[in-house]
Amino acid sequence: MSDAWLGLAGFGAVLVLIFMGLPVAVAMGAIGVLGYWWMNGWAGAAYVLGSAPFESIFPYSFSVIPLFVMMGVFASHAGLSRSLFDVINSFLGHVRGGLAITTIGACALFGAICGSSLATVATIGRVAMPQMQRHGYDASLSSATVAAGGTLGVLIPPSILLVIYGLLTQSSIGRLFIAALVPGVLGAMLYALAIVVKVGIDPGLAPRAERTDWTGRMRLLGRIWPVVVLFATVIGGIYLGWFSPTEAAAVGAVGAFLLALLSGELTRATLVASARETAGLTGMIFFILVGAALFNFFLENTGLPQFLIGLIEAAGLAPITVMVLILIFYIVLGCFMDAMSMILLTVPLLAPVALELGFDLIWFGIVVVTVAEIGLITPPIGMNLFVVQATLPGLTQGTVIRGILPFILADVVRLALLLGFPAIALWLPGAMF
Amino acid sequence: MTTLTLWLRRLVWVLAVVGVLAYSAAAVVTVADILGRRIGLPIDGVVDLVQLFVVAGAWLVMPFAFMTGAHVGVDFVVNALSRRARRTLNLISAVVAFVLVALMLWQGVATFVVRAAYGDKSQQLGIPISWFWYPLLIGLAAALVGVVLGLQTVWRAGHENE
Repeated sequence: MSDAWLGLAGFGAVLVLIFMGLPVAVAMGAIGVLGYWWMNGWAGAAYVLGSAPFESIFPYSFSVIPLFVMMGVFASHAGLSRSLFDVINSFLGHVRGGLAITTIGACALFGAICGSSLATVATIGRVAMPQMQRHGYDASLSSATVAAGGTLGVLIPPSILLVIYGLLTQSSIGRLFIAALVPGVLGAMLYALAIVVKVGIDPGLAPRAERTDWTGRMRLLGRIWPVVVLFATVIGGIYLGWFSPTEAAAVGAVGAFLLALLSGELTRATLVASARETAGLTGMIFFILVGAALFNFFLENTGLPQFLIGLIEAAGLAPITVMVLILIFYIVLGCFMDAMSMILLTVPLLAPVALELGFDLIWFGIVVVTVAEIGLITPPIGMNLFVVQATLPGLTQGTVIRGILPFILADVVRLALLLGFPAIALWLPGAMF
Repeated sequence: MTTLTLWLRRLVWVLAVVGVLAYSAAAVVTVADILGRRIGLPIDGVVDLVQLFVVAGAWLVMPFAFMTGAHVGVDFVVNALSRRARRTLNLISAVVAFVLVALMLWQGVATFVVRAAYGDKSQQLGIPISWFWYPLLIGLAAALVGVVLGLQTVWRAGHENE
């Protein structure tokens, strides 16, 4: 068996172990070590085992990960979700489907200070689901709206997935964040359009809520200044050169902590919950990084990325055809794997291919994270579908899945637009940097 | 739950809290440096400090992630199997994780001894490289405990669900 085929077999073995229930990090690490051992003997494997864990976490740039995680955890405990929802609702609640569109808007804004899809779904869902239920919204529409809206937190900066992609491909995290802004807003608009179309076809799904007068709207607007200030400081600070993305994460973490403190929501119980969430999430992410480092040692040794590039060149396929195939592969994989694992497993393999085909790595990052978003709402293991189910007692998985199709279609349209018009992602960073 | 198990769980939780405090220290030091730079009082060696805090935090929270089953995986295939098959796969999963972490610890100690002998130091503050390795070794050793405690939690939950 040639080295490249061994690499391909290793890739398949990782997938088999993952489907057997092994944690993704352990599967990648175990196959990485075994593969390297097979190719280079025990001395080689011992070297990788001794050095990869240290080197995979040591770089200063990796400090951005726990700090953005902390920012999201504290933001979700700062009681800001209710204010965000109330403000948008005061402007849109009275139109048919307005509460659902409000939910999408609240998810997008919350994603701007959170960066975690699951936290966005859980936090906004706790506020939005009872409101939509009280106004007689169809359970399928309301739950699917929260599940889909939560995916916006993955792309709208600051995004932990974009940080990890940036670290893997050595792309500028600042450029990735700026590039994600327009596609993120486009995603929110397409979701809103999906709601408008769905409610237009069946108006009974979403009755109108009460109208708020302008005095009430202005009063509510005054309550969301913390979100605006935090987002503007973190993203604006990077753009203005006040601090690096790594430092911005620290500013975001401290800022979100202070907001939670000032809101009076930071009790002993929420502090313990925050510590548990931070420890669990960062422990998981860092061990995946270790597992990915072990696997990538093996993968690079096999020369599989170069082998794939050679195969594509020999097949004479147009770059755009190859990219469509890559995206279909991602959509299928996303049905069964979580976004972060998918990115850590595949980006080291496919980013060189994308680069060789002439695609911009910043654009590729936005596209990959957009596809990962789709994976969060596609059955059977779209994580957001499960999280939203937990926000309302009695909600079944079937009810959520019934309403999700229009949002998946909206995502596919966004993907097609990104593919057809790369400037959607590349124009803003090009103009700013 | 035996007293030993209870104490081991507490130990893993304490390490996680120390880890999160280390992250917090990294955030505070960074913000203090940003503010300090504005008034001409930057913190010397901030990169070294942040690196040390984050490396320490990352390794000290890892046992907690193992203990609480925070590691992501695909479980819809496993959940469709019989209880006996699920328990077997859980055991295989834990054994593979235990062996992998044990190998990393074993070779980590060997690499640590070599690098510490060279007397390497960080670039800005001259922090001995060993300080960056201690949390790694402690974290990996405690992660072995975390793997076992995690398996115990999964088996107990499976037993209660029957």
